[in-house]
Amino acid sequence: MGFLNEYCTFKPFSLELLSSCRQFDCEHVDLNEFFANDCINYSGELLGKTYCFSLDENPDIAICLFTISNDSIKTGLLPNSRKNKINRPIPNGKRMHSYPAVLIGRLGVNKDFKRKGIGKELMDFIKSWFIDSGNKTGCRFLVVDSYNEQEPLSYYLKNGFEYLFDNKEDEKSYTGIKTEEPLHTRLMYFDLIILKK
Amino acid sequence: MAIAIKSIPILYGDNAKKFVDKANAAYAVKSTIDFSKQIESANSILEKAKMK
Repeated sequence: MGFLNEYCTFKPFSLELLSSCRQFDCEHVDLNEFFANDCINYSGELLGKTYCFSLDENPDIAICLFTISNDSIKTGLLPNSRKNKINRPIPNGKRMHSYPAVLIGRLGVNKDFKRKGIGKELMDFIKSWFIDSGNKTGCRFLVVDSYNEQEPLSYYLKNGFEYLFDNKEDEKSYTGIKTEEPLHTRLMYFDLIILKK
Repeated sequence: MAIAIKSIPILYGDNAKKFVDKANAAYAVKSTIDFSKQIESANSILEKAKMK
C-alpha cells in the first residue's frame, strides 16, 4: 500500500476545495500560480480538469494536484504506400492517424511530502486509471507538457515517458516558437498499450 | 498568469514516421508489463473516492 492509497482521498479539485485548502506549494512558481489562480477557470471553460489527493487526517492539506484534458497525437500526410505499411499492426478497422490521448497539463506534489515516492505512485495511479476497463473513452497515450527543467524531465523519463520530439529545434518549429526564444516546456508521451491490465 | 499548456501539434515526415514506428513496436509487446498491483491500488483509491 502506498501513501496516497493509505492516507489520502482522491477528489476533483473544486473552488470550494481551493478555498478551504492551505496554499499549495510544490516549490515551483508557475505550478503554484496555476493551481492557485488558473485551474478553476480552466475547468470552468472545460479546457482541463484538476484532481487532488488530500490528506485524510487533515483534508485542508493537498498532497498532490494534477490537471488533465482530452487530447490526441495526430500523424498526417503520409503517402499511401507508407501509410499502409506503418499502420499494418493495428487490427482491422482500427487503423488511424489520430491516437487518443490524455494530456497531463500540470502535476505537482506538495513540498512537505516530496521524496516519499508519491510522484511515482501518482503516475502509476494515472496510468492505471486510463487503462481501467471502466474508462468511458479509449486512451492510448499519456502526454505531458513538462517544464524544460532537470527535475520534471527526469521524473517523466524515470516514469517511462519519451520525448515527442527528439530535437528541440523541431519542437520549437512545430509549436510556433521562434529559434531564438527559449523552449519552456517539452512534450513527452507514454504508450499505455504495454501495460497488462 | 502561468505558462500556457501547449497543444500537441500534428506530426509530419520523419517525426511522424518515428512516432508511428515506436507505437507499432509497443503494440508488438502489448500487455507485457504486469501492472496488476498498480491497478489494484488505483481501484482501491477510486472505490474510496466513490468514483468506481
